[in-house]
Amino acid sequence: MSAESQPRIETRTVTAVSILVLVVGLVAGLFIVDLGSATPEPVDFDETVSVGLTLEDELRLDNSDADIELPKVQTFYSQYPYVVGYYGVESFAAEQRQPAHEQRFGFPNAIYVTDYAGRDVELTETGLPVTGNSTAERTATGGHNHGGTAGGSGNWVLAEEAVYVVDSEARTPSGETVMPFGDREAAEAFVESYGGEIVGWEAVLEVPAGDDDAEAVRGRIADRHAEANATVDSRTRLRDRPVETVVGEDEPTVQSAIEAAPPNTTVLVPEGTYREHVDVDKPLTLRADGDARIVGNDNGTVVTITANRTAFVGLNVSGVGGSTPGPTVTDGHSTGNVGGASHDHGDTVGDDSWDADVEDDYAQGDTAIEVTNAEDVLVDETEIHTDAAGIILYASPGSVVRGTTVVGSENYREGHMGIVAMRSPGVIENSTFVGGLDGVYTHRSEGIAVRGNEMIDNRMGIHLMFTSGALLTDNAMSGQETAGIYVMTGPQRNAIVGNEIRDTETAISVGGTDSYVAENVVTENDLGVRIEATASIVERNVVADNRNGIEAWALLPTNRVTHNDFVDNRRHVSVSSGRLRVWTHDGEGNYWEGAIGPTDGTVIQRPYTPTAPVDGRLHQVDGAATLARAPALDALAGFQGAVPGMRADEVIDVAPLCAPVNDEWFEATERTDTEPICRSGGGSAAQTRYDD
Amino acid sequence: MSTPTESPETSGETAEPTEPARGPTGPGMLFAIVRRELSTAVVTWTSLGLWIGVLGTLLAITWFGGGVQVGYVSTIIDLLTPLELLIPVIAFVIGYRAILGDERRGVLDVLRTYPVKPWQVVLGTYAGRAIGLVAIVTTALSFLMFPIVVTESYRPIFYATHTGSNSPGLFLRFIVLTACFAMVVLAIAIAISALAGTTRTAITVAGLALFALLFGADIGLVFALSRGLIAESSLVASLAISPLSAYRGLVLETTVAVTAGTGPRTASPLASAVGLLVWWVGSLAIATVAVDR
Repeated sequence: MSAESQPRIETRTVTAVSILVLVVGLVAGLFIVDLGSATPEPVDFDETVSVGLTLEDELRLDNSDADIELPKVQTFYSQYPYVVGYYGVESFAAEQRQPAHEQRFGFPNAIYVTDYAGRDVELTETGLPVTGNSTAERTATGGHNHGGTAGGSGNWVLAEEAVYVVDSEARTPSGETVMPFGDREAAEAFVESYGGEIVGWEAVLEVPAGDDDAEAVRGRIADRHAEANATVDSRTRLRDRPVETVVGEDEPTVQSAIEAAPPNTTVLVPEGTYREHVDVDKPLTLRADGDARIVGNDNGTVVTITANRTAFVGLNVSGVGGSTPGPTVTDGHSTGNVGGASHDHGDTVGDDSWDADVEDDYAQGDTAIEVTNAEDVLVDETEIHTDAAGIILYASPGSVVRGTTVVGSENYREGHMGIVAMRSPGVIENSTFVGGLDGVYTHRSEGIAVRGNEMIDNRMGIHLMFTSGALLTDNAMSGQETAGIYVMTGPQRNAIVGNEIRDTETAISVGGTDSYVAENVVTENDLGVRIEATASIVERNVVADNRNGIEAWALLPTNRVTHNDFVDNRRHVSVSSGRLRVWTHDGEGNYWEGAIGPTDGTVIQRPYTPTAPVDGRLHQVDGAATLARAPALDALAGFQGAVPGMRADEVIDVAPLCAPVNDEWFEATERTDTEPICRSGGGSAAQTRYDD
Repeated sequence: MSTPTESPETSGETAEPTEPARGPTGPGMLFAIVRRELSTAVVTWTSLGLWIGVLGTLLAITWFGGGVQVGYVSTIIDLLTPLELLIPVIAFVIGYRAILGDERRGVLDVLRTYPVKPWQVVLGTYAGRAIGLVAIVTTALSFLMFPIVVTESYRPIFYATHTGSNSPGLFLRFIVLTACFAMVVLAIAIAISALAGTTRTAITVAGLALFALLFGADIGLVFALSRGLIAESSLVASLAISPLSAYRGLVLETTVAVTAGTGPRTASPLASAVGLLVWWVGSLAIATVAVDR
């Protein structure tokens, strides 16, 4: 019996032990194998979530005859599911130095850069790289060239294996650029032709970035105001030209007075109604003396200005024709040219022909005042009634419009813009725009300043198209059907500061990159702020009484959203796509009406997730505060911010402020719904501010 | 845990080790006890109910936490804290009466008439229940992988995506760590069961021990750190003192940190593993001594 059972047990033991060893081995293997470091293959750059190029530059490059290929980077992050593409190696270098970069994305599992080796790279006159020898041959030569052949953009090399040429003549539309090569010989050949020096990947990561980020934009605002003031002062002096001609005394009509007047003098227009169309083709100042009205015959444009340094002061313009671009423009799609072009395109040929249709569509139609190819023009204290456009500035940089009122069509679909600024950066300030399509519409007016205007009941208040570096400050808007301020076409470095916008569909919709949205007050809108922009700063805004406070729309979580006050919005935050965004920077987040938890006098030590079902109701639903303190919820909230790139599309503030930032505004409006919950005697900045 | 319907089986099982010739050191006795545990205390309707309850809880947590819709690592993060609470509770439910119950019903006295060593009783009882507990925990957690696979397969049309470090391997690590953690906590529960004199004291002692385990050890660590009893430099190793912190540290270090990148170290895996091992072996040893009395 025992002789039989002994081997039976031994077999069983052996089996058990072997299974045990196998399991232990597998389990140990599970921990030994490196699960974090698989190297993915590069993808087609079009499929990456890309940053670093404006739509304007993209269209311009697409339109170019040469086979321009900018240096690019594609990065596979450990905790971010999308492949992130960067135009310009230096733009990746700058981004990865951002303090929160690794927290947001994890570390890069793989980084690929454009490989110019063996592709006969040359530079255009402006320094843009052009590749002659494209994909087919390169693929045949093999090398350490990884996959991807689509669209001639399939030449990639692992960043660490490449060498880089810095300080050469190579450029992207944004400036100096680093050129990557898969082998050193090719890099040396490039240096021979275009200068620069060869460095490795580590050195490239330290390449200093231009001062183009959102913080730089914030830092330049005071300077930008000073520049705008200087422009305005200079243009305002045009009012003081000596009066040589008086309409009615020296000449019978305004037009004949203009023809008779010597250049650089003033034509004085006494009180009265002048039924005529006016054409200013020499540098003159037209100034009203009393209530002077120029009234067109309801057909065509009333005043045309084609001379530099023309000033148009104090006059009243009406009787504008009814021709407008119509649905092409109102419905937002430039499908073709409606009617004849009213302008010859100064530079819209060759590389610049990409926007010819836009210029044709948006600068056409009748207008009260048309300024074409005239620099440094002043339109001051003018009152315009029009069913078409108010002022069209076309290729007229340095122009100033101030103290002017444009009353447009009540139904925006039948009207046109208050001001169209097309390739006309200048200053538009202290003016009023009622009705019509957009109060101010800009196209390629880099650096335009729009300040202190009032906009009422338009389609949009300010509409930026292909315009970077704009300064939009202290405007008051209400009743816009689409948006108060709408920044489209992915521009860079726009500053939107101190505007008060209420009762619109969307108060501010900001796209692009490296932009600065601050100190705005958005109230009673359907949506307060839509953030389409990336790498931007949104701070110290008041977001109150809106249906939705802020909509996080940008896919990449690279914005800094802090020190905003969210009060009494039906929903403080909504999200559309992407992954978790952390709206906290340097240990401080935003003020959220409803956020609860213990405080240290500055911040609340409980994360607030405005997009979560319970947190999002804290400020409105009785009992939500009790539910929010359930251990089950706390247990879930514990690690929520740990790997944002792997979390669902929510917004979390891990250090909500306990008192509003803009308390002056809340005091001035005598609101009672901003109970700060900072403990007394905290002695923190926020607390002190509130006590003041 | 056992129900009256199983008493016939119990008698049948206890009748099996009738061969003293096999010798007390033979593993046959151990297997017999394990088998008895499995059939009386583990394979029961109550266990099925427990399994369903655990699975439902885990599903609910990950669904409302949003982790299961995104991937493996986010699911781990959602589950980590809840499991720190849930696992000890389940382990104590399964373990606190294991030896005590046998003693109360006189089974231990019966066993003592056989040449069974105390360590065999403890190990057998423990192994039987551990198999049940580990089965419940691992199957429930493994089940969560299905919704992750399904939801993860959703991809946007315009953009290329990649999994990054979000691999099922990390989730398997998590399952293994959780199973080990469950086994350690079960050992502690068994020790308490062996130490307790009566059913009533067992409930009280188990409750207190549970409380001490869940909160006491970690609060003690915080206290020691704030008083300077633990140097800041050795905190990462001292975490191993508390089973919960050791488990948490191991999970963070071997799964979450793999994807999150650099930062302060979350734990010393070796120290934490040793810490858990010490708790495990120590508890079983204490139980053996207690049964030997």
